[in-house]
Amino acid sequence: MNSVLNPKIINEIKDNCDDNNLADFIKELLFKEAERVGQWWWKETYKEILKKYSDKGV
Amino acid sequence: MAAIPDRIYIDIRDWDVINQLERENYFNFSNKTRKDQFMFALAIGVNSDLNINSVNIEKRREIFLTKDLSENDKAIFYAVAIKSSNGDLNIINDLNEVYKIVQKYAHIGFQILYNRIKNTAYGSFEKIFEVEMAELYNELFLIKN
Amino acid sequence: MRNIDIDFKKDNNDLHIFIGRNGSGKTNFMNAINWCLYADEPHLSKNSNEELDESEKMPLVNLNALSEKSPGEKVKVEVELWIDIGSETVVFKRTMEYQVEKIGVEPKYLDSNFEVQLHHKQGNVEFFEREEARDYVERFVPKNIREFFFFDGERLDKYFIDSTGDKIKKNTFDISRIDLLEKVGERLETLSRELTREASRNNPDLEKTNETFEKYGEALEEINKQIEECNKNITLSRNIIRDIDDYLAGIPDIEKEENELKILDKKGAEKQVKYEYQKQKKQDILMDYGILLNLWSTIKNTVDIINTKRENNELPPNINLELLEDILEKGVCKVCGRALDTISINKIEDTLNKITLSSSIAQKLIEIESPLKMLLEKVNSLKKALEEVNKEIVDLEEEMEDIEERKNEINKKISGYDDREEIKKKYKERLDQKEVLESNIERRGSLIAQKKNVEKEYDKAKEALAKALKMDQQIKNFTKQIEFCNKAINVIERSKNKIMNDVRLKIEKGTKEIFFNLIWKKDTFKDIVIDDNYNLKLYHVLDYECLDTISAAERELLALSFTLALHKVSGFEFPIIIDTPVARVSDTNRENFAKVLLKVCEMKQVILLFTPDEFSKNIEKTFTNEVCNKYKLNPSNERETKLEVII
Repeated sequence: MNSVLNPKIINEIKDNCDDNNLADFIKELLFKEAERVGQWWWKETYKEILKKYSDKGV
Repeated sequence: MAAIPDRIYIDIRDWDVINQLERENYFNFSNKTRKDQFMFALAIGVNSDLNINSVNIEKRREIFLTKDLSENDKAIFYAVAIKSSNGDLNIINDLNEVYKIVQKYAHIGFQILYNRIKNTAYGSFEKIFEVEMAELYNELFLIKN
Repeated sequence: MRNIDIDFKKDNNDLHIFIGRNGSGKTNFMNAINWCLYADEPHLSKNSNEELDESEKMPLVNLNALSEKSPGEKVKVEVELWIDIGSETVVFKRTMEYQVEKIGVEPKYLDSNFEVQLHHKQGNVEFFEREEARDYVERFVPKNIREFFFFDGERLDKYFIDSTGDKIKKNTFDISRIDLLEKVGERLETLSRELTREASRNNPDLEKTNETFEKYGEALEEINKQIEECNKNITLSRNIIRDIDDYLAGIPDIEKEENELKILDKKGAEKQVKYEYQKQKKQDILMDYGILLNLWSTIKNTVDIINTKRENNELPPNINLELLEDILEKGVCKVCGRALDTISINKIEDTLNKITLSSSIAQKLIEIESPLKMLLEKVNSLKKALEEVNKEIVDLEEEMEDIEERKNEINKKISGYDDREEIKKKYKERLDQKEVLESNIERRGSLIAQKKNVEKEYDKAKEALAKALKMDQQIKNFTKQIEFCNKAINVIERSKNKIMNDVRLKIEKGTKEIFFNLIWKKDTFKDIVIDDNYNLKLYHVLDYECLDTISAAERELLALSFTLALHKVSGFEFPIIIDTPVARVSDTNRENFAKVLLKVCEMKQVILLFTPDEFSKNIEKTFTNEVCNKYKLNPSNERETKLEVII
């Protein structure tokens, strides 16, 4: 039992995404979730990551 | 002519038979009128074919008033009187005599009933009677019809 | 048992056996492991006591251990589970502390602790406490499918019942490790909503559109909550009904039977009244019939006399004789007033001469003729009446006999049950629960229909919002982010479903392979399917579903196969523990099942808890030379058991 992500999930996400940017976005969020617990931290982190990847665009 | 009696009598001893029949409630006796009880005994007495000449009612007690007799009952009385007088129809003019005849037959009937009940196991008298009536019916209708 | 270490060391295979009669502590062993992992003892009673506060639960301390301490002293209950996974070792440790009180008073709860330790190969140890420790347990041995780790051979009917599908779905979710994915999805949804709200703040139309969208979103959430609530209640009702069915198995519905008895009593009394009436009626008919038959010859005799007299013209015509005599005397007809002529006089004299009977006798005979003839005719109708009343009496006697017979049957059925009130209560409770169940099912159906409508509106509102967002130049940035967010949400949803489906199919395949490999009936079963609702179905070679009709041994094997498949797909490292493994298995299948267990322990650690009756010579023979460890549980007194090592 560890905080490493299930590679199958990552592959599935890649398969369902049209572009790598979207896949990377979701991947980064997943890593953040795996690292941390609790309710207080996520909003600002998510906003930052969203801005980063949505600015990159398609 | 003697005055026509307004009531029918039975031998005082026959009251014991009536009481016993009512106690054991054969033929629903306790709910029957005295007239019906009398007619039943009369019928049994008549069918026994015993001679009423030897019958002597020593002490008598009234059982019902003659005004309770229906047309059917009167017709039966006359038929019994005619049979008893071997077909002499003049008997039916003498109502006194007619009553005497039926009272004697009724007395015979009560005595027969008394003996039957005494000699029959409790509760089986009606069953035996029913069988006898079935035999009597066959006798009457297989031969006479 | 106390202060004891049990080492399940593996040998050529991984099979470990405990043998102990009922009451020797086998179930306590299972409870101890459950308590360590989940803080409850599921095999104490039907209902878990997890809702109780720690301080409200019964003390776990062994009574002997308590009696050895003085008031004021502390006493501890501790269970540790050490599990090797490859090069790491996981330790689950739960402790509860009490203070001993004076005799007759329950010990006072002081404190409890639960931790998980992960001992790495390198020597470092990671500690997990509280929520993290609980999460660890959930990933290791999920609580709501623990019956697939801790098998109860007495309760095989629990497996693959209606609610199992929901449980399996939840755990497929857990096994798939997509909880993180789900969390990301949920948080992105929240973020998307918040961004939309922010974007629409400066645009009233957009704000309105967004409000509508949010309104439907909330409504959808609410409906989903209510559906889940319904599902929970449905599962609860089903479980209660199942428990009641267990209790009532073979027990008649006492209230129903007593009600039928009351009805029969009433019917019987009614029949009795009718019977008495018919008997009395018969007596009346018999008397009338008797009178008539006895007098029949006499009456017939008189009627014959009358007929003869009439034939011989000895009976006068229906004329008043006195009138005739008067007419003759006066020589005048009193009818027409005409004077009589010779012919008339002769006629009248002739008539009077023929009448030999006196007028009074003749008159009486004529009077009695009709009643006597009617009496003669009556005999046949009385005979028929007697026959009819006899039939009626016989029918009533038969009916009354039937009623008595049925009453005796019922009395026999319900005799011997002292706890009648309890039984009646259970039946009523079952009925009530059924009503609740049906009402919840109906409500769920209506909620699902409602959900469809709300989903439609939600989608419409979503589309409208997306359109509105696109049109507004000012919120271009927001729109970009919101769109990106929503794309990610869709990808996550699709991925989740695909992964769950793949896991489901893997478990299905695994279950099939293991089951068909192990089952001793090679030509009976055709297929195993885990459907979209995660319900397991077993198909006969003749293509019908046969899960409900398989034997206890087959059901247990199916449950084992499913468990092994779950373990394989998920990587669960926990052993399989089976209490009374062949309790419900018939003699003929016990040996088969023992051989299956041997094969299973090649794949997994298996711990079996037998009663001496179960551990027959045949089973012992099967396991000889294969068992790693064999223990005997010997109760030394009512409160303590010694563990004897046999192998």
